[in-house]
Amino acid sequence: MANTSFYPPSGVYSDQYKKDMRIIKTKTQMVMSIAALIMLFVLPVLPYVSGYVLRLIIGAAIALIICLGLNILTGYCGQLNIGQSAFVMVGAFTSALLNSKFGLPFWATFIPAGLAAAAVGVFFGIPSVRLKGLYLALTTLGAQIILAWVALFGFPITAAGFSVDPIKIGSIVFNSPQKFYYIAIPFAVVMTFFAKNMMRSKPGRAFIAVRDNDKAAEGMGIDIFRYKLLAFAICTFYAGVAGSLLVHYMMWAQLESFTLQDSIWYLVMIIVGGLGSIEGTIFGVIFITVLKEIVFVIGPIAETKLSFLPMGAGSGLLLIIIGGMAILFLTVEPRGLAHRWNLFKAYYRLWPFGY
Amino acid sequence: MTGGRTSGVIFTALIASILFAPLSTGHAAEPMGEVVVGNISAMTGPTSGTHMMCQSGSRDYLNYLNEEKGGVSGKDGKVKIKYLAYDSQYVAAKAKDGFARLREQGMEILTHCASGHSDALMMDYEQAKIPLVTGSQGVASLWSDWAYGNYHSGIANMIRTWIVWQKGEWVKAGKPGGALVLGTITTDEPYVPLALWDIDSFVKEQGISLVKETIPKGTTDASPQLLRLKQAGAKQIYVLSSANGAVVVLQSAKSMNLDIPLTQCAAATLGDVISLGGPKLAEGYQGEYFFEPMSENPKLKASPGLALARELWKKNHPNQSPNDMYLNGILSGMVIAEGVHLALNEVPPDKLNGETIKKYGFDRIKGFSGMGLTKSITYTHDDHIGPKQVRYWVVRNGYVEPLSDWMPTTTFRIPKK
Amino acid sequence: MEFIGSLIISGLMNGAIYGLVALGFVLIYKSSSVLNFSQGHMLLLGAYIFWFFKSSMGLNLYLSLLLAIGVGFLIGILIERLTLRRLIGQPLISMITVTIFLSLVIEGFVSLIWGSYPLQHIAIFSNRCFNIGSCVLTTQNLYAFGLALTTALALILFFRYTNLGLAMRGVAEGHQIMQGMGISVKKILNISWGIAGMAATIGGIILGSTLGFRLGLSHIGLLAIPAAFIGGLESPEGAILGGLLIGLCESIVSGYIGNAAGVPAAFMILIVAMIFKPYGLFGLVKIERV
Repeated sequence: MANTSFYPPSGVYSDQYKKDMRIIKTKTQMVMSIAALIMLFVLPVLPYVSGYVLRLIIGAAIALIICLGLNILTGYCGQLNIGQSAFVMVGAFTSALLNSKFGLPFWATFIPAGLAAAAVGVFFGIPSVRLKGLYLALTTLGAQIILAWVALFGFPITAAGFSVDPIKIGSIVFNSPQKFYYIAIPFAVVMTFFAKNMMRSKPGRAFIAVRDNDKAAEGMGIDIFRYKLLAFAICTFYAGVAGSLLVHYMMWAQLESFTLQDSIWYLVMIIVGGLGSIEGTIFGVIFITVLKEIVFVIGPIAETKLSFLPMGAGSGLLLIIIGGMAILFLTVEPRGLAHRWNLFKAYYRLWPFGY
Repeated sequence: MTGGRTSGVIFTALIASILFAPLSTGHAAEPMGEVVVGNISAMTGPTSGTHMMCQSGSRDYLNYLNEEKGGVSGKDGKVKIKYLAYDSQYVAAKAKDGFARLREQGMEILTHCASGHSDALMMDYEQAKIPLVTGSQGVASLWSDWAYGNYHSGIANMIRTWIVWQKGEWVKAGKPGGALVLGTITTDEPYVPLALWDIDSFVKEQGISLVKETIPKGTTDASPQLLRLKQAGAKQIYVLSSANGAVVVLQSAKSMNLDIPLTQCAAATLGDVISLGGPKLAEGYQGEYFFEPMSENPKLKASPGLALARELWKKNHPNQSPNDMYLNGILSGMVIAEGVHLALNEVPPDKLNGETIKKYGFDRIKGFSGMGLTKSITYTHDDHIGPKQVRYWVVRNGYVEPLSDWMPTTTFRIPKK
Repeated sequence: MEFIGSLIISGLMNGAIYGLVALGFVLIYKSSSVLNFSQGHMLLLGAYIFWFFKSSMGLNLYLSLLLAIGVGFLIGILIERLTLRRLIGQPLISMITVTIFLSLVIEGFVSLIWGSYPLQHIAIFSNRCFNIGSCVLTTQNLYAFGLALTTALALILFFRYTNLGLAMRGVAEGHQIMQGMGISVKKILNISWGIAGMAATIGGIILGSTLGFRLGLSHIGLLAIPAAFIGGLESPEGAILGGLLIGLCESIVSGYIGNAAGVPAAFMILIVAMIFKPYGLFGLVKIERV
């Protein structure tokens, strides 16, 4: 599962190790990256981009941060995590409660939220010293159930749901999608950059070693327990920060936003996008967000058109189509979109040669 | 199969069709003489059955008005109602997205079937100045000046009203036993802590005692908890759960030959329980209704509102057995129509929007009973709760029969924040 | 005394159902190494199909049961052929994701044909009960328990003493090895998924008659997962035992601590137990070579 392109463009080579490690290797890549960043920042003022589209993008940006963390743990380090949305919840409620009880603004609470989530994540990662693979996934499932129960019965206020102040910088209040976009996108860009950077440094290589064969890694002198816990900590830190963003975006903190269904969707996003690949995470998040949006928009239309069938039939039909297409997709490309993207890049770089 | 040409083509086609699908949903312009009503419900997921019934009820009623009467009319004009719906998939973020989308399509009135995801909408509809008409309040709508209920008086009042009723009956019977012990059995659903908010002080005020038991959601047996309630001497038990949990409780109660009467809270109706568990299981089960039940009982005469509802059901869902939550939706539809009608007495159709409909419409609703479907609803400047009257019914021979008279509910509000 | 007695009985009865579902789980894992996230939904589909035969078509109870179980078997085979057949040899995680999407498709299919509102009730079991002190055993409980045990026993004997069972265990070790030995991997996979489908249908019928025929039936899959794990993912007897343990734990903890603390407590105990026995009670210990 390579996470670099198979073939650099013709004529590009590195004569120093430092140059080989660079994320952006050619002038074209540099230009395209800058253009993409400019596009991102200019998007809200373009015509045809309505509040609805921005809401979609913000939702995707927050999901991206969550999935980046998840990919680091599951994709790079190989520890399956089915409880990610519980850690998002920990970060979300930490931030929301600090805001609600002590009046602290977002800027003071998002790091503590991330750290709280990381602490909880490390706690649930401790069994990884003995458990492997699918059995470890059980621990994370347990985290989901246990944390949800604590939120429901531990604090009455979290069960009810309560409001949260929007983010402020000076006199600007970020309480609409147009404005919040400029919080969500920078966060997403920065966290993506950190993730990519981390994965090409020593911890990243250690994670990959642990994933591929942890006994061999241990034999080479990598402290696998420490790195597994580090992976858990990073993954859940990302989740916590994303949770903090989420509650300040919705300006409402509620238990039912963080269910097992969501955890499974995050997992699906990184699998469809490609495990062990940062670009893959982005592709996966976009793909699944769009897929769910189709259900969201077309479901009610299908429902009215098919009202002669029993209630719920329209949405049911849509679920069949969506699920079916997704299964078809995975059958065609089980390694995810990132792999397909790499194949595509290889194709045009090597053309007209076959390999 | 990887690497082949064909798989590459299939793949690209798949991706392209998926990515471009949402772009095909355009923006709708709002023609004159039309008011857009938006509904946000969970149309997929386990609660979708109930939510779809509500949605269907309000949609069918408003479509009926459009077809039979050409819309809603008042002194200053006539408008048709356009009904749009979005699937919140039971997630707060999606509910907010749906709201944004509906606003772009010109929505002026919001309706929903409440659950955790819908409380988050309070910020949105207050900011956008859109009134909410709902037959199923979450907690937030009791806090908001823009929300108008037409069903129960708030989650925390279901058990309070029941306790008041039980105490009243006990006092009338001459206070047998000297002290009253009541019980409640709940499932671990998110609204339960809200329903039991601060219940201990209320119980102390009333001078009785309440024993609480909880069963896990997926269990198939509630007999240990019922046993404990019996040992504590509970005279009546309130079931705080949806129809699913109620069926489990009833089965355990029947197998234990429990002789303590059970009452269902408004989270499910007796009709739901009869349908899910069978008439034999539900025999003797008590429950509360804030409007008249949908099921046909030859002994009872239907009000005009109920008769209309039954007709609409037969017309739109001919092969399904009738359902009470449908009435919930119909009542919301009726309240919406009444509000628009009253507003049209003051403002012309092109000046109708969320604010004017609230000010000249909903805020002026007095004594509205939905053609006899419910007790009279009056909204005042600080009270949008709804009919504030409840009636208790019981299942006999598969039919739902009245057990008590209409009585006022309690009006406790969970404090904000 | 009678309180804990009723808790134990309640827990065992619940546990029997978890065990049945966990059994299907383990079967599929044993033969295709796939964690089948759609087990709960297969249960749902089986239950609805039974309802279709009994209620919509009005057939006799025993005939409906037989037909439903037969169709359950076919559904298992169908799912395996359509989806997982193509993914042999692909990363495990893709197969797991396919089962996740499959659960969506099944839910959509069920909603399409029968709607999302709960279906009319069917009575299967008589109302007779047996009393032990003041603890109660309904006929339903007894059927569930008995069925779970019988199925488990049958499967244990099957895996240990028949050629087909041996072949299935072999396929779990490695598909290519088995093909090299001349065993048709396709046929084995078909059969194991078919049996899992049958187990799911039986569980669904029992659950449906207790809890009602509604979409929420698929959520039982959630509690069956720890049951399957604690017994060890390769062991059918472990699955049943695990189910009973989880049921007991859930019942006792909920009974004494209240607030339905049983489910999270079951998970906590499970996690602690697994630290001591990482592959479950009866699971196969993986010997890792570098």
